[in-house]
Amino acid sequence: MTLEFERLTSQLDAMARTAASRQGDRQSFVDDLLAVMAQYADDWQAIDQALLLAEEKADPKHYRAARPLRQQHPLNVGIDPLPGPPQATLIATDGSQIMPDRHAPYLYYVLNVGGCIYFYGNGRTPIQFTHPELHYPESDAQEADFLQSSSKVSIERDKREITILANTAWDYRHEEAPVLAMLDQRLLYWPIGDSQATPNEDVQTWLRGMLKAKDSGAWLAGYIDRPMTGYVVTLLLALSGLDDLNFNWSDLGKRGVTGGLADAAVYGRLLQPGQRSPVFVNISPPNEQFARFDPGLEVCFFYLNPGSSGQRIARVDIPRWVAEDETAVNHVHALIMDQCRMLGGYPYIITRADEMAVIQYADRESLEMMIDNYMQRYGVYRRLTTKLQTKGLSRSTRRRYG
Amino acid sequence: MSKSQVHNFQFGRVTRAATIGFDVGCRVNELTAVSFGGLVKAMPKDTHEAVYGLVYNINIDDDSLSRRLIMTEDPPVELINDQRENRLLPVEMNVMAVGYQQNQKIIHGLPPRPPLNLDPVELVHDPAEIKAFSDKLGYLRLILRANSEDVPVEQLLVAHVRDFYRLRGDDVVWATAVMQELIELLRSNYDILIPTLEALSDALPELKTAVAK
Repeated sequence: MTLEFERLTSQLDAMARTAASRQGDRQSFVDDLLAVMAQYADDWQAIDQALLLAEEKADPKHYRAARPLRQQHPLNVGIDPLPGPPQATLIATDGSQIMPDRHAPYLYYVLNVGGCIYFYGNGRTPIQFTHPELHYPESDAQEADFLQSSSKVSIERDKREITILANTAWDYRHEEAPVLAMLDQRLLYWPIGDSQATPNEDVQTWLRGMLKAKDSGAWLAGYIDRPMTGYVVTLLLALSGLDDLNFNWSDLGKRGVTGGLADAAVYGRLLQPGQRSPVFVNISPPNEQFARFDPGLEVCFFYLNPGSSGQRIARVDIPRWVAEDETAVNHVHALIMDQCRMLGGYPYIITRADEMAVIQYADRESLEMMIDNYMQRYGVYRRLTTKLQTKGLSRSTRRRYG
Repeated sequence: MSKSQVHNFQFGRVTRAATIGFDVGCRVNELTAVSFGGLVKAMPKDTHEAVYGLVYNINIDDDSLSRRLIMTEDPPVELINDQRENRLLPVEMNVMAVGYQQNQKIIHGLPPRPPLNLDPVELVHDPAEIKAFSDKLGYLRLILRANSEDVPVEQLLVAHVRDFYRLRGDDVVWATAVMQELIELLRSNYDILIPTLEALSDALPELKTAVAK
């Protein structure tokens, strides 16, 4: 049966009405936050005081905020891009996967990390690459683990992304031009439920990848399109609490207080195309662990309007070793903007890395045929489950006669 | 480079084929070797046959990313090189079959069977083969029979004659014979004959003198 759209019309109408009402509420909340921001834009003492109080009184389980890295640019200023370096080597990696499927004839998963190396300013043709990797159970005991492992596969993919990125940056460590290594995700990687925990082996692999990028002399950046985080919003709420005797500090950072409002809604009103925000340090227990591993790995960030028009906002994560070098920050800003200009709001090199990484459905079909051929050479024959066979029949292209 | 050193050059592979012609896909960086009107040869593997054809259309494909990049003001050379050399956007060309080779013999006519997908395709540049193919002019009939809505017949004739005139070593005798053959074949079709002759005269002004003599 297909989706009966006519039965959804009243629900669609209700959905749109709700969205319009939420948009109105959000606008007035953003207005209030912008007023707080204007009041305390460069009141560094008040900012320190608010963060101190928040740290003391807020529930550490929920409290996540932003601290300006330098007492230099007011919070509400948009910083224009400065000229970038004359030349630079940009590297990006991205990953994709085929998840294990218990209905498929053979149990396996594939990770594919794709990447692109772009030689900014010297005319050289970019280099593209892929690193595919096939995983399969080596024993019956492992087979059961395989079936529960879709989140593990995602973590393995993420680790491969940063490891290959760092290795590639290492290979280019002798380049005269600066090297910018980019991922299309957050740098504060914490795939652990408990934010108070110590970094597990997965996080440590991530940290070692960051460290190798640092040791290579490269700049590292994580590009997050449409970020949903509200670290600056929490800072502004804490500032508003300074004058409010009834302010509920223990709720600070809870989603219910902000209605899930993201920093992007605030900076979307402030940043003109091409401009960035000041650099902030992420305040959170995982980031403390990152700093403990190596002080240079503490994650900082700035917001960016990457478009040529409009109010789209991206977040750029940079580690402290980049953030503390003002020239590096300005060059990262300029290079990312140059990349975004090519596609009208998203870095070209990340698009190319994604294009290299992505595994299309046709690729998967071809791979499964290859697996089947190899298996038959060794006398192994298996079939799709009946469920998958019948789904394939009913979901194949339908043709209408008459 | 002397004539004897000029060899055919494989530049692409058949993407689809029919008796009357075939399409060839190649990478952008191989495009410079091929031009409109050029003679190409599809060579099915493990057979003694080859199918000759003239390139009558070159199509450069796009995708959503390249369409988006069109909007980039002053795209940097790195970006252009990436699109042209790295991305898998094939150049596709349409080829009209004008002859075939069977047991070393060249025949002007439609081939007994078309080439298959992925058969290699060469650009014919070997002077001996050019001469062998074009000493007789029977293939001109096949060009003139093409549907002029799909194939720019006059322009194809002009491009082909100009190309072969040079490849045959500025062979005025051959070019003059071609013009006379065209006059004969098109005597009842002035709509094509007159613009073709005019275009040929413009393309090869030296022929005017030769014909006048």
